[in-house]
Amino acid sequence: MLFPYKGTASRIHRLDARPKIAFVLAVFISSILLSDILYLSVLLAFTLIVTAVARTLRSTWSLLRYAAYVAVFVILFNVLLSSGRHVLFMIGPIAVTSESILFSISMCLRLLLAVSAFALLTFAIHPDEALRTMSKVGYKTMTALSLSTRMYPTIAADSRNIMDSMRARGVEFDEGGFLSKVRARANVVMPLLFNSLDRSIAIAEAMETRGFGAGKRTNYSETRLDRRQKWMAAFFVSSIVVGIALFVFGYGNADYLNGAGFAYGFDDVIVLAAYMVMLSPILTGGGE
Amino acid sequence: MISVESLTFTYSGSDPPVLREVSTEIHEGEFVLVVGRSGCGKSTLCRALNGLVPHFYGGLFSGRVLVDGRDTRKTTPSKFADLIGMVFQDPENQLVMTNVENEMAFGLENLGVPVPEMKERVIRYAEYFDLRRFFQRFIPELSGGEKQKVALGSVLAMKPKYLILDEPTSQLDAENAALFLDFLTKLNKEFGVGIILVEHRLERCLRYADRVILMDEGRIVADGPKNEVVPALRERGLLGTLTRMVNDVTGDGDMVLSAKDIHFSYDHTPVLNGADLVLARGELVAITGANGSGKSTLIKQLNGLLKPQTGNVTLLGKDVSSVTTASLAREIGYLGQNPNDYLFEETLEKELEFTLSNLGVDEKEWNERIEWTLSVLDLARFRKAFPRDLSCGQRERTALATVLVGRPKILVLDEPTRGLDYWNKTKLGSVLENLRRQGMTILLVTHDYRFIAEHATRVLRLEEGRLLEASVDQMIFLASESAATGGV
Repeated sequence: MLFPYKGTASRIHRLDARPKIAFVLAVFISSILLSDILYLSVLLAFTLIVTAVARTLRSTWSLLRYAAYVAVFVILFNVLLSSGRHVLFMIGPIAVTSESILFSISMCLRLLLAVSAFALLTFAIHPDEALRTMSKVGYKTMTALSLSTRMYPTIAADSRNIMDSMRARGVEFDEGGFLSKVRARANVVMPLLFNSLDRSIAIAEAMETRGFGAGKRTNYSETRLDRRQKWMAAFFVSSIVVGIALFVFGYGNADYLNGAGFAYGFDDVIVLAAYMVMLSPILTGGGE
Repeated sequence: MISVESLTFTYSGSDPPVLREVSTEIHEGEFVLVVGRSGCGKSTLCRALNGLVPHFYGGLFSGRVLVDGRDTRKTTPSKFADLIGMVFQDPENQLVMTNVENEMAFGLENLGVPVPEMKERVIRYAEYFDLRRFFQRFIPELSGGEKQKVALGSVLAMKPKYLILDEPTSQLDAENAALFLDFLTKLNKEFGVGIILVEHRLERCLRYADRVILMDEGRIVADGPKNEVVPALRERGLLGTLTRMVNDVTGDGDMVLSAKDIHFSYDHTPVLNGADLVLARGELVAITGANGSGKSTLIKQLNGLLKPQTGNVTLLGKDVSSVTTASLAREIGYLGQNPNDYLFEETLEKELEFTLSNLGVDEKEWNERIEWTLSVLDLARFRKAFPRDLSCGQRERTALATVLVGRPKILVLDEPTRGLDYWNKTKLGSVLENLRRQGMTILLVTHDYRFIAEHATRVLRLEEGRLLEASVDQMIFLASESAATGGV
């Protein structure tokens, strides 16, 4: 994967970066605030529908697969170490409780939701556009982030070349047990670090000579948002505020470790539906 | 006009000044070539012209540099961006954005150029540099020559009066380098952009310059029209007559390596298409070919870094297909393009011990092997030095030492003369010639016709995935021709 962003011709790709970033931010913040399984599941399903409309399901799936490995550890860790009163079954001396199972599921859903939001940012927003949009907040920080996208293939190639040079000096990377493989790979870290430091100085020098930091910048692809996209961005930004308000009022929160279960009222349905309505304009994208 | 007045500069943390009492003037529209041995201060001088020295690096600075009357001490380098553009050696380390169009706009955005004018300039310069067809391409996917053109185009779009280029062609093959330098001449003549070019490959670029500044140990020792400075270049060993070092080649040594009918593709794009190669003991074989023709891919097949999709490689009678590169390292040494990939230990000695330990060489032999290697490569005085602090030429030899200490029977080198000045190249050439005479077989990939003409016993050219015999005489002709048209 040399460059993760592919300019797919989807309506989500045609949408300006600004509302998209607001949407991603809203979903990402939700993944932090929400803990209720129903709320998280609905939001995850919705995010995956957006991903499908953006035709980036396959790439997102490749990221979610890695997240799934982490999820397995999260489940094991919580099931084995968390306490609870409702014992479902015993594994030797360890009691597996319904509290720990529900808590693990909630944690995994949060993880998958955060990864899906990140996938949307990566696969459906051009990194240069993301840079320009977010640079309004902190240009230098965002440039560093954009550079990391730009330099990823270079650093990956550096790492391959260093491994080749190590092999030519007798280092076996694929032989022996797990520990000897880890030890062999550790050899790559220092030269890679040195090379990256050299590169960072060279890039900083090049940026300086091209006027970076000289004064007020202009924006090459500054386009005016049309009325529809402005409304869309406003909806997504408001949904962040609404999400925080819901959190304060206790909606979407479930303390599974202390015995919370699946008790929902009509207000939950209304709140969840309203929240989804606020996010749903994303599906219309930038039009056909 | 750029005016340098009694400039003396010392980098912080290092003792001797890099520039000593340098004074010169460079006028708009001139094409100036700045030359000198590695470490003579030419890159530092260039960085002083736009204030990178002292603002970016820090250090002790005395004297002054005025660019159109503006003092570089009082203005940061970014504020000179509209006056002085700079193109560096490695295109990889100067492109910031992800695609070509945004890269072209980056400098203009920094200068605060109004959007309509910026759009017009991006398109105009992209068309001029034939870059519009790449507009949406991801920069890491471009070739070296294309990237260097993007770097140049992006800088030129900022309409600088002066353009400083620090070894911009060192990673380009002869054809691409010639195209690049022709282009510079055109910019100089058509737009009146003052060109200040730092280069080692004099045979490539001397012909383009009006004026040459020769530096030595931080001072300008000659400065004037090309023809007047040439004798000084010869005197200091920066320009030499082509001398063929190889004269005892019989070509009847035992066969040490054979590669037959090698096919290899990257993602269904064929790179090698039935390449055959036979190497005999005591040969120094050079492989040439355009950028991207697959030379590096080919040599990686020989020690198992890449496995041929069809065909086979036999090394000293053994089929290499089922063994690892590391297990072949005692027989075949490999030096990649970037010597820094080999250097990470605190001292050169530890660097060599790292190889010896991996190769399982008996510790009793270590000292003798290290001494031999350091003496062959003239590095004994750097035994306790931090390898990354060494100069470019010394680092190349240090990286070679990390491979040579294993005493391989075959040595494979990928672009070993890249970034080396003539003096360092001559030194490397004599080391390789010495090793070859001792019976080592050497295979190298290079664009450097002169190095081939002086040192190769045989030349092959990689074209359309196959190796074709080329004549050493042709390389001598090409090397002499470039020297001749350089006006030397």
